[in-house]
Amino acid sequence: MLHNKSFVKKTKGGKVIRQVREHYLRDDIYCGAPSCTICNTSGARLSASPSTILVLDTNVVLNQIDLLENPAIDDVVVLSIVLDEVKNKNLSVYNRLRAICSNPMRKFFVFSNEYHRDTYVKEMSGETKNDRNDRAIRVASQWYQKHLGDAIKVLLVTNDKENKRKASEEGICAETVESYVKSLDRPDLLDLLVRPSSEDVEMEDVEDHRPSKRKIIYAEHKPMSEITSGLHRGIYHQGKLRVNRYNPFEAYVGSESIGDEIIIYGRSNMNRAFDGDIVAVELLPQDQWQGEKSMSIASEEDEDDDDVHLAPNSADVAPRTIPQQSSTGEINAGSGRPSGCIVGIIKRNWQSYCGSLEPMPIPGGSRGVAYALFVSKDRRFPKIRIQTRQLENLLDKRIIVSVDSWDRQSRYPSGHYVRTVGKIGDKDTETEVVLIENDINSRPFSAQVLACLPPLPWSVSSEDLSIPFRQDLRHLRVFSVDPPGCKDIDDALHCIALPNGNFDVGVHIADVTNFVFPGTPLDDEASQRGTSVYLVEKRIDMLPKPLTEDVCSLRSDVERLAFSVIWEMTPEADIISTRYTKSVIKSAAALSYVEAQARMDDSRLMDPVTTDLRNMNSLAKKMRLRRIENGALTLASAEVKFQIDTETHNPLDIGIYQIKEANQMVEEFMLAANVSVAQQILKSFPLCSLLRRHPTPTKEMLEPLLRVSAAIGLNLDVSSSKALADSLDHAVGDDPYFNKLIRILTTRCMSQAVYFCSGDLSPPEYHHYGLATPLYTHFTSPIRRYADVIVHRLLAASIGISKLPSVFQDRLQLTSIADNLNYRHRNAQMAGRASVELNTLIYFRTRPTDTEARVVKIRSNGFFVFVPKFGIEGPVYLTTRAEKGSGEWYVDEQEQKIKKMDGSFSYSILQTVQIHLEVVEPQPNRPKLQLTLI
Amino acid sequence: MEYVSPEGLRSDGRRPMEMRQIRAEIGAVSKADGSAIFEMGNTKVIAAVYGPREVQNRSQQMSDKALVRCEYSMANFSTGDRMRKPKGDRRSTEISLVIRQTMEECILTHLMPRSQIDIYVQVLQADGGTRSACINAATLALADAGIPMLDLVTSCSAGYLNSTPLLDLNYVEDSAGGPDVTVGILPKLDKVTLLQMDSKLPIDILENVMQLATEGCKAIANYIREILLENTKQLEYRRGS
Amino acid sequence: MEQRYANCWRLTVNEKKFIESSLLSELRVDGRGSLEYRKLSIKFGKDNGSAEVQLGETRVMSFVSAELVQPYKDRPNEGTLSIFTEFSPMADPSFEPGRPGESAVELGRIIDRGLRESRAIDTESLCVLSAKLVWAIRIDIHILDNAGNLVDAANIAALASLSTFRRSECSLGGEDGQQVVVHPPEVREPLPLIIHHLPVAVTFGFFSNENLVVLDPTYHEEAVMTGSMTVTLNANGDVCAIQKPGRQGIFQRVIMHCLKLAHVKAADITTKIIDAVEKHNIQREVQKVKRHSNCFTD
Repeated sequence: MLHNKSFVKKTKGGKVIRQVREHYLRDDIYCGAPSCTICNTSGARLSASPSTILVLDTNVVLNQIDLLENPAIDDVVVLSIVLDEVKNKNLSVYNRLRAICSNPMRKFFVFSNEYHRDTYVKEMSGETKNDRNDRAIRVASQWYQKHLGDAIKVLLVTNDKENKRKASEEGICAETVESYVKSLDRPDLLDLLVRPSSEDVEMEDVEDHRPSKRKIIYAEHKPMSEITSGLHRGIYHQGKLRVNRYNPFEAYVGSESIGDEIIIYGRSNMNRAFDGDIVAVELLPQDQWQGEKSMSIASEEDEDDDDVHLAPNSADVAPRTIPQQSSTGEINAGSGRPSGCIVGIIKRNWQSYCGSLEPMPIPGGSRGVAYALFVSKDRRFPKIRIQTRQLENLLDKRIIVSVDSWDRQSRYPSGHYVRTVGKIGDKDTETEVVLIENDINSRPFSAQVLACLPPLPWSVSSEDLSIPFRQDLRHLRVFSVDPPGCKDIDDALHCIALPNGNFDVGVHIADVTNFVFPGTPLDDEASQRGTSVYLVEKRIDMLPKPLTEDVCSLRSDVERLAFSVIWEMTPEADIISTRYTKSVIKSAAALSYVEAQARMDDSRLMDPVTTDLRNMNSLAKKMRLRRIENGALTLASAEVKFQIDTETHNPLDIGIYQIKEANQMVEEFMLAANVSVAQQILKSFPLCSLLRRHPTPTKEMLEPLLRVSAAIGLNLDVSSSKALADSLDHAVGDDPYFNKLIRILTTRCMSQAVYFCSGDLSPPEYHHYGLATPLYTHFTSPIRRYADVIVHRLLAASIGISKLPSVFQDRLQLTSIADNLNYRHRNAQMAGRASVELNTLIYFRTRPTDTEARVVKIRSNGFFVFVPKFGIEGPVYLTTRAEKGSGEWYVDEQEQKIKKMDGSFSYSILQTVQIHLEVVEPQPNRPKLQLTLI
Repeated sequence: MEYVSPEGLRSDGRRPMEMRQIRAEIGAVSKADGSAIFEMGNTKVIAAVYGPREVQNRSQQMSDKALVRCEYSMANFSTGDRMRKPKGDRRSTEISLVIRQTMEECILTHLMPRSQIDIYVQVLQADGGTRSACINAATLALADAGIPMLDLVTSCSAGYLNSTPLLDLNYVEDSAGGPDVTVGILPKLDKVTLLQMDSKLPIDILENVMQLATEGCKAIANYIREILLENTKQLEYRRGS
Repeated sequence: MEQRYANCWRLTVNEKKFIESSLLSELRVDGRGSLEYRKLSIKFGKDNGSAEVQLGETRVMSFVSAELVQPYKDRPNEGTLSIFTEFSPMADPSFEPGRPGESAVELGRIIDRGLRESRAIDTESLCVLSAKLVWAIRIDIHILDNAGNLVDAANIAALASLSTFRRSECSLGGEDGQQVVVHPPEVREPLPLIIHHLPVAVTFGFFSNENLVVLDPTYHEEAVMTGSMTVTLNANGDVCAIQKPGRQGIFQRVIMHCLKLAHVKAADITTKIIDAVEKHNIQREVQKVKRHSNCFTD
């Protein structure tokens, strides 16, 4: 039997089209009762001789899916019309219902009433779609009753009064859910019953794309004119939105008009703003400012997503927490920090984001358009809705998505797919993700940049030698000491004993500015990149490879151009004179740290290079001692090193990087050169020098350290770097690792050193806290840091061999260069850490390990541990998510302990625990490292 | 999107291996030497055959066989949105070529040298599988025109959606973008003359889908034979013998 | 459609008989085995996205170009890919100047179906600004010399040119972040297309004698054969398109046999294309850095 359904439909283009679909009605759809004598019973699902068969209406399914999932409810006929309606209204309920239907233990039978010859109903004129569907349900119930005879009762379960009344009129048994469940005499089921407060079905989780059905979620953005006048009158405040990396529901707007950060809690207050947007904020009334309490709730929903990370090595990379005023006793009700909500967006900062799609079933045909939710790997960004026709290609991939719009009616912004990075979990893919996430430009160098390179192969020419200010130092015994396999050698040293007993010590730095001229595309590119990025097994260069590895690199046995700092030093390492010159050198040896160390340690070796090394080492030791006496901090961080399989490129072994004397020796001379150069350039250019400073940590920053030390009874004096250095030296416990651990904890309280333009700050602010020196800059690595390139130009100008480029006249521009360098530097560091984390994950994928760990932070449901052997840090949970807040454990803030309620067990800070490391995959394609107590 | 429900029904109520209702009618254009209407569900096409007749363009005349020409077109009202379609677009040019070469295979052209046979097919209503319907209609029209043929040619399509081979795709299924295999066979010789496929499918699955389409072709061939037999009986009856 | 007959150069009966009877004794006029491919060479032009393929005597050139256009209403997030074929009368006397003829259309359609329906090119990644600006990729295929089996040669040329094509990078800027900035190729290295897989077309010829099947038919064999089949598949063995446009009927088992043969051949040709592209890319990289003219290193 054939029926044609015809209906009108509006196309995307806005045209109204009449569509005709065939609809075949069949006589081979069976009732699903095994006792049936008429039907084929091979696919029957109902009980052999049920007393009652239930037919459900759509709203019952939508509201009572919990009840249906209870095994007490059985012998249910699910009509296809009900399935269709449920699918249109709530996909998650539909999937749950389908799961019940396909469960062989349950007696749920799907009856395709819409295709059955006797149960198909045609829409009557004037009948609404709902009425027609209700009628179809009644017709099907009636058919069942007639088909199965009087022995079996067919019960229509509906809460719709009208439907129930009509059913009774037509002679169908009908009941409401409540009365049916009551009749079962199972009080436990009554609890599962949802009593709808209104007739409406709640649809909070389903996004409905039909425009008429979308509701408004966000407040309207104010028009630009209103924002401008609001800013003028001081009701609105302008600033850049910064979302908390560790809690995306919390953001800050640094506002100059208030002089403080305004906190924005929750998505609706953030009102569709993205991290980095310039926004206009309106302060909330003071009584709505949220104190510490509500904050912890806000962060709680994400608490369990904490992953294992590398131990932070400075305050900048550690999770940000708002200074907790209340915990230190300064409870001041109602006066949390200023909170606000966003009323308008002045400038969007939409970029491309990297992440993956939320897992979802793949639609049938590949041409079918699918809506998918994209989850950015960086948690600061909301999910993004995209439309794609190639879902099957994208589901297991890391992809890039960019944002197109975000209107008030949609919970998530909509965007479009840009490109695929690669398969999730694949090492190359994840490495690229790390680069993208940290905004690192790993594109090949463009043609115009490469055009700036000197023709290859390059060698020192007679013109280079004939330049009057370039000194020929090829006769000197210069050598370099670097990590093994280093190709971008930017520094070399020499040390010659002078007849008067002093030493002639030189630091020779690759003369990059001889090849990179200001204002060229090459210079612009390097300035943008700011720094080379070092990942495990991969390096992203700041300068093109020919410069990095060949032309500039101070390789052994080839003549290279250099910029040299040459001191005359007494054997006590006092600097008598300093001079700076461009030079030509020829390195005699390129040593690795290990080689240099071995030479110095091998007393049989008496060759000139070894002697030089020993002389330098003894000078370096004296210089180091003097520095420490001045209050330089010896900080500790756990740097991890991998041994990589050459075939698979997977890590074979993992361990802490061992620092040798040779490393410290080279470091000492580099520090000295940097300090000397800083003095020189600042003397010549007091307003436009590029320096590096390390701010003194504030009291708040040291708070966590002090709390820990108080808990363990250690007295730390943080009044100055000297005092801190001394008290760190005295912090020795019974346990050999104790001192290192305290140093590691100290390190993470410090912020990082930053570049700045000398004209922007006053001289006392130039201070470098960690090195305890009043002036510092970067001069020694121009191949891999752009700051050094700038400093080279400043130094050359200060000794009168070249003119200062025009950039230096423009302080604003210089400041922005310094800001960019800080940004790039920080990103490079984050990327390096992420790369190590990635390799750690790959390493533990095949090697679950038991190891020792130290408790470093107490949480309400567990604690954070630091694993010294692998340099990682992560959460250990004492309670599962479900039991959270069950009150089994409580935290003693004073003693920094987490205790069991009955007092039988406790964990305290810095305690050693045994843990098990394992990679788990809670969601497909999302592996993570999990730490559990043994 | 679900094209086959877990209960094994397609969106229009068919099972995966079922064809739509087919209907044929011979003699729809009185001026033509042979004509037919062929329907597969809501897809409806008309075919008209003229010839064998004198070759219009002398330069194309062939001394050893007849010249076969074919023109495929879609009526403007054949789809939901009534859009003027330019004649001779790339798709219809290709379909014309494919239909011509398919029909040529079964016509005994060497019996009619220096002559020309024109086949016109037009889609009146499109709901998927127009190419197949056109070939089936053309077979009927050629038979109606009494043109000597080696065998019938019948055609049917099959697709693969939700990991299920589906026979005779309708428009909704066709636009799902899944694989679509159109087969044309010479049923008596059991040979394949037309085979077109697109999208992406592993070889072994393709074999199954192709097999299904071939079964469909055979079923259509049986139906066409019945229709022709019926038609011949009618003619016989009208002649009064 | 008439042009097929218009200027048709025809083989003499003797020549036809000779070709056919030698095939029966497993000989081909050019000395190949019946399932052997002719020599394939792929060359690249100076610009990105141009390739010249020579298959035996058949020569085909392909150019890829791109421009920014407004997307189709129903596909706001997708770029487009279109294929144009140009049959110059220079290459074959039966080609007529003017509008593309039937065989040109068919050739374009086969390549088009193989590339587009199988989603070989990630067109969604060509979206710059949703519903406003997408890249439209255009492939122009020119037949330079027709010595048979144009489909395979043209398809390889299309794939090779797509693989080496680079488009300018675009980014969004401006106050509202909706202004499109196109970066010139010398400022930012242009980007390649994302190609999911390479659908390779392999053509078989059939003859009135059922047992005869040849791979890669020549011009002369095309005149004799009574049917052909082009199978487009990738190295994984996914069939992306089949075109057997009527004519000679063959058994289904023969078709299956051809599919398997085609799979092996496609994998082979894929490697050839990838190798050639790789070589070309390395050469390009090397050329970017200036070198002293007196010390030439390759």
